[in-house]
Amino acid sequence: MVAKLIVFEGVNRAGKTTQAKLLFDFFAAQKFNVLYVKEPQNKKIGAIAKQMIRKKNFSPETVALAFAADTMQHIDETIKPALEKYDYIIADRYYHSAYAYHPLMGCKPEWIHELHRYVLKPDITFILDIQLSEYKKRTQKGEKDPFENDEFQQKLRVAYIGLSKILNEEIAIIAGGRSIKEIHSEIRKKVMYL
Amino acid sequence: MKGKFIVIEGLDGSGASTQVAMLSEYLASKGYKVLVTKEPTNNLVGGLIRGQLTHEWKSNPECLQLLFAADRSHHLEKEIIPALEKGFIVISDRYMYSSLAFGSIDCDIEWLKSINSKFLKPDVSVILNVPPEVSVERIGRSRAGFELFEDKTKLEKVRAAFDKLSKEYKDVIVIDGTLPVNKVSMAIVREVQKVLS
Repeated sequence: MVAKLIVFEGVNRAGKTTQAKLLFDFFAAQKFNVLYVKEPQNKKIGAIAKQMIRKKNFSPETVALAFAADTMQHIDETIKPALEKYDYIIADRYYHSAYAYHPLMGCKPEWIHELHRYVLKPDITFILDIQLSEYKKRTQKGEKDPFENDEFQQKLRVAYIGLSKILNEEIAIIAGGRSIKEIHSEIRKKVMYL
Repeated sequence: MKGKFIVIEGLDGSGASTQVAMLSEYLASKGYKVLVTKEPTNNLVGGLIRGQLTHEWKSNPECLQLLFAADRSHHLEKEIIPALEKGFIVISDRYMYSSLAFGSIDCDIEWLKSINSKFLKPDVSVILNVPPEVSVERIGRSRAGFELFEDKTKLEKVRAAFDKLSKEYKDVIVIDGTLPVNKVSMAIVREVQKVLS
């Protein structure tokens, strides 16, 4: 048995973590072995990559290379070894974030693609798609990462939707403005026969 | 850019650091503003790379090469390019060709070229050519622990990769690193003078 790799992606507050955890609980309740992972990682490379974003004086290329290194290490150290041990691996963000964010920051898309030549492709990626009005509604005061502005989130949304055209892999765009339960049941249906 | 960018590459023990110091001294004596630097750097990412070279932690080869490239990218934008703009001669102890040559032991060299494709090409790149035996012997004399890449058969592969790169890239010059130190230095100075005049 090789684990199925399921990825959740989307703009800020689209519901990635909520849906990832619901799906985790659903599998766990059925006695499947399931692993939840998150990118960027909190250790070594991931920590440095996050620091680069906060400090803002690193070029988009430097940032992209650091994030790609974090992804490669995550795959090698965590995801690949887990393939034999688990039934499902649920990733809260993966390399798709790089494809969406880094071209918006100024990197060439083809070069970003090259950096990720050796990634392990997921079995399915859910892109939770919400409109800008929904993003604003869900944003509370004080929630700020460096990408928290309407214009960027709007561009990011467009970039995420366009991923299915660039990447030759299974991508499902999920309307994320609906109730948590409704979205979860749609996702459940899609993962049932992976 | 006003300055010139010179890099010295080669196997460990090839004499690169010695030659960087000698070249810098020579250029300074001629009145040039000189900045000496090296890779991996001492910055954030450079520290992670050093940890791998000395076996403190390990990643897969592709991850390591992405880290080298991230370190280089930052090195260029924070140190090398600003100095070149101010008219400095920047001499780097190792640069991109070391990544391509050492990295090609475990990674596809075409992939390495593409992840390094955004970086500034040096005005002069010197590869100090020494046989692996010389490298190993010199390292043994000067250092206690062997680092990641210091294994003889691997060194042979790296040397062959350097050789191939020298034929492929116009800015790359190979100099026999087994010659006496002064002779090597003179040969380097001659190459550098070509781009300064």
